[in-house]
Amino acid sequence: MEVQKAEVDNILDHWKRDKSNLIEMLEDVQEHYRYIPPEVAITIAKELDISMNRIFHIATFYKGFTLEPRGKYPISVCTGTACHVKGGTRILENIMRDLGVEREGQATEDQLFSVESVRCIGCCGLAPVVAIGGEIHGKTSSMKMKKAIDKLRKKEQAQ
Amino acid sequence: MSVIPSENVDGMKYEGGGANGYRMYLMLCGGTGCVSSGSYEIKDALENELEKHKLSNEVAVVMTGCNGFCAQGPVMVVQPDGIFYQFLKVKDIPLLVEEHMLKGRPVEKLMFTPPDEKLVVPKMSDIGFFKKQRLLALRNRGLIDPEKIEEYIARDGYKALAKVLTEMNPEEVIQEMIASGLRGRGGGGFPTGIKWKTCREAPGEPKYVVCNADEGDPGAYMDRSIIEGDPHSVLEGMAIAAYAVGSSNGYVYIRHEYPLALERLEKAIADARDYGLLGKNIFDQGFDFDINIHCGAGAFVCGESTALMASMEGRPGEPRAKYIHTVEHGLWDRPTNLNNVETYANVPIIIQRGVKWFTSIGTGDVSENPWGGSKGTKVFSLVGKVWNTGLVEVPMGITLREIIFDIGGGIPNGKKFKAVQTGGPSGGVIPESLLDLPVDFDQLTRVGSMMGSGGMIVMDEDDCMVDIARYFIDFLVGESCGKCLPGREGLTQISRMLNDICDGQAQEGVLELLEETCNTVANCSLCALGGSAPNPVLSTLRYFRDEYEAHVREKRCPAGLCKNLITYSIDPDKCNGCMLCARECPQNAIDGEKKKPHRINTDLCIKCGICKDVCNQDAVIVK
Repeated sequence: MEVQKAEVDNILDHWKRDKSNLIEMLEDVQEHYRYIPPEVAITIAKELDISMNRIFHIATFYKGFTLEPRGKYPISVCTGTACHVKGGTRILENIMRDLGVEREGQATEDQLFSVESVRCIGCCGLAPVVAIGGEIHGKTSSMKMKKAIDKLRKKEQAQ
Repeated sequence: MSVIPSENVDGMKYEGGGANGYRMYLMLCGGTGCVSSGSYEIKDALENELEKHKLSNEVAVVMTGCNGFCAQGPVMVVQPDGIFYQFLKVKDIPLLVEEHMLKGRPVEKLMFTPPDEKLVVPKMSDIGFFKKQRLLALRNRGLIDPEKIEEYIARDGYKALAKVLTEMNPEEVIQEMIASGLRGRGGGGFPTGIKWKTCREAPGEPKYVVCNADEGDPGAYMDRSIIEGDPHSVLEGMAIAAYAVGSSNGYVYIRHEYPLALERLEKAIADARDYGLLGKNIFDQGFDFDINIHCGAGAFVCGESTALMASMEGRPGEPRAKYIHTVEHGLWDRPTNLNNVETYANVPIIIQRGVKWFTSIGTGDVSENPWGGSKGTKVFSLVGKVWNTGLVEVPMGITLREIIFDIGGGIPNGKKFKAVQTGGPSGGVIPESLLDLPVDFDQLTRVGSMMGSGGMIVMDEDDCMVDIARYFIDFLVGESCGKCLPGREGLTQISRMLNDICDGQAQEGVLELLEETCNTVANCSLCALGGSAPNPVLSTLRYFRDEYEAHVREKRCPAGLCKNLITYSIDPDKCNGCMLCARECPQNAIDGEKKKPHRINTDLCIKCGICKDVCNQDAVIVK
């Protein structure tokens, strides 16, 4: 992919090119590109004079980073304990089957959706909970999620 | 005790009110739960309707922090009468404003009705969920707009900071905290005052004060709620800690999964700086203190103190051996005082109301020894299979039965209580026979669980205890940092055994091997998280061994949950042939004619459970 060096420079400058802010820089990269593109990682390593190893150690250690692009609407299925006992894991499996993706984090062919389990979004009182593109759906079910995803897909197709 | 003493309402002034303020305040919940249920739409609708009736100068709408009763959201409390409304919808607002705000007639159909009862309970203070709670850390819950520092100040905010800066020296503050018996609310239960003292006495400059808001325990969300609902209580607690240990640099380490909390925290810090409550020469007493935010990138292990500090330094969050203490060698190798959000929120009220008052709440005696009891309150997130789910703050020493049945309203859908899980992945399950256990740090540890950060997940007869143990172990396998062998390989082996058991593949003797491996991991792990990791397995084995044995010997899941050991079928007596399940089944595994009982073809069934979800007749049987 085409990486604009100016974009990366902006992020690095914002964090004063200080190596101890590497996690924050990568958070910005993830938000901007929806993943950590290898080209960006190489640029950061050069600019900050740190090893690629360190960047990939961090990018694979923390759940917030991905090495492949997430969908336009990332779906986070909460699998915290409260959601687990109320069937969250089953909802995750059903969404994956509906989307036709084989593993968590993989985007659909149209790049619209990706789904992954998350460790608790702190809405345990509303379990089971799923967030689609940051919007939280409480007391949800496999059927409700299917409808919500269909609605978004139709909206995108209409555009 | 009534949840909202009348004096709490006094002294609240809202911008734009007349000389006497407004005659009525609509305290609408703006916590993440209620926001996701639509409370901002309700706010707009209320303001429009009030405007229409020309009531905008008499009635104010205030967005408060989380009320804790999240499952009923959006919720709203009308003050001063204390009427509680729930499940608000935009279409109900015209009626509500006309009836209650204009004509003074509260609307019954929007009030709370206890499970299995018919009469509504209009007042918040009479609702079982709120009645037995005692609010210390959540003292401003639902009473202030968390985005207005003036409202925190009007409720005696920053008074404790003023008191310590003008009347007490740091040693006196530390003495006060030790005498109060306050123990760390993040899970460890270490006496806060002792930690402060060690940090103060540790050589090295500068010193740091850090707030652990990396609330990673699945099933617990009180820290998020406190930051969203009353961020200044945490900042004030941190400033007092900084004065006591001799620090002028503070950090909050917060999860990136909590965007609303982050936003409110940023605003609170900026406002406190504007008011001179953070920054240089606070209260003209020559004390400097400022706070910065560090946002986590999603790693459960970063809740562990040394991993958290490694992450703040821009490294992967890997813990180090525990014998080097962070109070001496913490962030950037300097003395660092790390406390949890809820711990800091308790500090100002202890300073203000004194040790005598605080130690009157809770269990044991801490006058000689801060480990001698558990003082004050604890916030629990009461969730899972219970009627009233939400956040509750209760005095230490209350029984599990009171929390689950009096506050929580018992188990829904006529099911039977089976167990309650406390302490997150480091804790364990507690069976019905121990329901009368008084809840405090030491009692929970005694029965094989722990306080942890305060998750309390109630489970009923449909929950499989082996599956719960597997759930936590798989969680920990995924979150293990991979540094030490017991944490990395030991947990993986435990997970394999549990998965075999759940799949009906395990051989005789597996339970003994499981126990042995658990003990090895408990004894040999590098950090505290690894040491406590086997707790979910050991406690379920201790109290529900028969369930494990049923899986191993009879290849049967008594709760009807483990996929490989169950089949779905339809009860022909209950099925009315509505065809809903047949339509929704992703495998087309259900056939049958309209108005005649359906059948599930078990060869095609993938046990996704959708038929059971959609069935209105409760006709799908899982065995």
